[in-house]
Amino acid sequence: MSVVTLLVLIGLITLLISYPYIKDNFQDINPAFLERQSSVGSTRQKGESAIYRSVNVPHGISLTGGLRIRIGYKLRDGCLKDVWSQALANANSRDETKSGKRISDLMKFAFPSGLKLTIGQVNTLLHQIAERTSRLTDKSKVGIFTDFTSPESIFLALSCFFVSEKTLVSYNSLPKKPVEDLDLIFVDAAQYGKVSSMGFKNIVVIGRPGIPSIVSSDEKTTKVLDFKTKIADVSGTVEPTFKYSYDPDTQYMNFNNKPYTEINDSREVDFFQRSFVSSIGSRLMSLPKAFNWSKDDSLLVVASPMDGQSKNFLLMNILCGILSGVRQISVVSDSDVNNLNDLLEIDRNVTILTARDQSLKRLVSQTSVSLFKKFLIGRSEYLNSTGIFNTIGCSVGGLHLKLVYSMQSSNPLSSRLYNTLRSCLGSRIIREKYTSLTMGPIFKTNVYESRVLTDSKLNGHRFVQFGVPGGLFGAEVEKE
Amino acid sequence: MTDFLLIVVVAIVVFLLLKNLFFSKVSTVDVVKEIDTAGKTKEEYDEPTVIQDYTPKMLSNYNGFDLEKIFMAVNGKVYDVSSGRRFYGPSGPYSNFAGHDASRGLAKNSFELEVIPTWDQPIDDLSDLTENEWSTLRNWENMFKGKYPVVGNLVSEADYSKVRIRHM
Repeated sequence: MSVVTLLVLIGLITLLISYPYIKDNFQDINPAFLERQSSVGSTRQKGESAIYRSVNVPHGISLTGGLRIRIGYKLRDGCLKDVWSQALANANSRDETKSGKRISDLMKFAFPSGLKLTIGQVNTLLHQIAERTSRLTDKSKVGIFTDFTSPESIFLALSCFFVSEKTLVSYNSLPKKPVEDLDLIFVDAAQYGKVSSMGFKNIVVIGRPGIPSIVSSDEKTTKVLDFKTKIADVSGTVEPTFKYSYDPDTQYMNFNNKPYTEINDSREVDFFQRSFVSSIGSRLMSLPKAFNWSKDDSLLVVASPMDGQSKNFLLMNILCGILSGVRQISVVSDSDVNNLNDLLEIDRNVTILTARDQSLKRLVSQTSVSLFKKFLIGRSEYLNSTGIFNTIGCSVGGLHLKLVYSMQSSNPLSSRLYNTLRSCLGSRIIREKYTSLTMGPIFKTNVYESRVLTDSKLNGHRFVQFGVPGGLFGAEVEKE
Repeated sequence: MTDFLLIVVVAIVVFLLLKNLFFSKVSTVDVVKEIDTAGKTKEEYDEPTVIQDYTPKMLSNYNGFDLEKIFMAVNGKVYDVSSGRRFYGPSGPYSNFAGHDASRGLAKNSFELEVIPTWDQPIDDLSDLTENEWSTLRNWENMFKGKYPVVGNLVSEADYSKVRIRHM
């Protein structure tokens, strides 16, 4: 046997022996870790299960934490005003990585209509909306009936959270009787007919200039105004300002502790400052460093129709985007995008995508791919399912997603389908489960989750994964 | 001959590589729970303790000898100290506390049997403890709270019966 033959044989045998170890090195994470993502409590109350706690939360950190804002050597949980204060503070820094421009000139809110507003302009609008809203009502609550896809509705919500501190009462369904402690409601033009006879003193219509054509019998007692002329012209020329009357070191205890209320089928759900800050904190702080939301990221939020969970998901994404100072926050309605190419038309630099699971499935299935690409997707699916993340199957060239957040609907996708989505999108996907009773996700999957679950006893039936308790709280389920 | 052997080996390796790369199906993870010979899953063995009230008599069984688990009471709360078996378990230095109300012993920093009430004695109200002894007891209590899970409250036989009747 020649020396060359011997060397080649030794090389091949070495390769075969070391293959499992090489494969492990290519994996994102050891599968053993994915099997132990939550720790179960050692005790339980009668009739309940034990509390499951996400391993993302280190021991010693409060289960209901927040933004962990530092004052001297002390940490505090923060409030919604801290989110805006932080965003404005970030805006005054300079972009050191790319253009060298001020962040305030770069950070933008973008909408499909082509409207783009810098953070300074948004600050001006929020103050303008707050001031004019206060003129229309002296009550501490403001109603809204919208799907939060218009810039007006989003800025009204932010204005209530950050500036006017009025409680925003968001209706997912309208009550049968007029509401007594509310005399002002903001409503999408398409929904105006539903609220016109509810007895509100003032109705502000979003999205259609002029007085709406629908006239109700109670029109005499109700003043109908349009958002553009009476509250703010968000698509007009807006001067940027950075003035914000909140000092995070001294005024952190002055806030409206009930900033948001949702009405679902006549059931009122109140959300407190803690509901927001703990959800934002757990969402942003539980990510590995490589996936942190940063100033180089661009967030694209695909908004779904009216339901409590979708609204909470949308608000949470926007607030996380504001706090982390992403380069651009774009909001687009689910009905305005048909495939993955449409996403690139809205934002070519999108790195973080958030959408409902069914929307993601639709976008991927409606994106046409060549036969060769289909083959690559198949291979990408295989590698992804073994834990080796790759982007060879990415359906659209130019789409460079870092993270995708998928809100699990009432008809959630199986882990097998998520593997396909991961391959086609070329991105890791965090699945989140929301309820109408919580602001943040109650369950979420690990960013490295890659397993395709099956059960051989159930004839290979495929499973839906909800994940582990979302970040800074424990989950508890009823038990017989 | 050796070259032929080499070609065969290389062909096999290339074949395996291509088969793996081009024709492998999506890898799945079976979620079937592992069941041991006794017919129990790991989760069933790790079943959490239900929080409930304990009378001194009930507590006395949890001494690590009659029952495997080791409980002890401190200032009205019952703690599961099973993870500290080498201290509180049979033949451990603090085994006298196992299955008993250890409040007075901890307050007086004593492990003697005289400071540990037996199961047939009424629950110690600790009314005669000095301020220093209370301070010591609270320090111990904080240590127990941080280290061991609370599994219930220590109640008298009378209170226990009352609660049971109310629930019936």
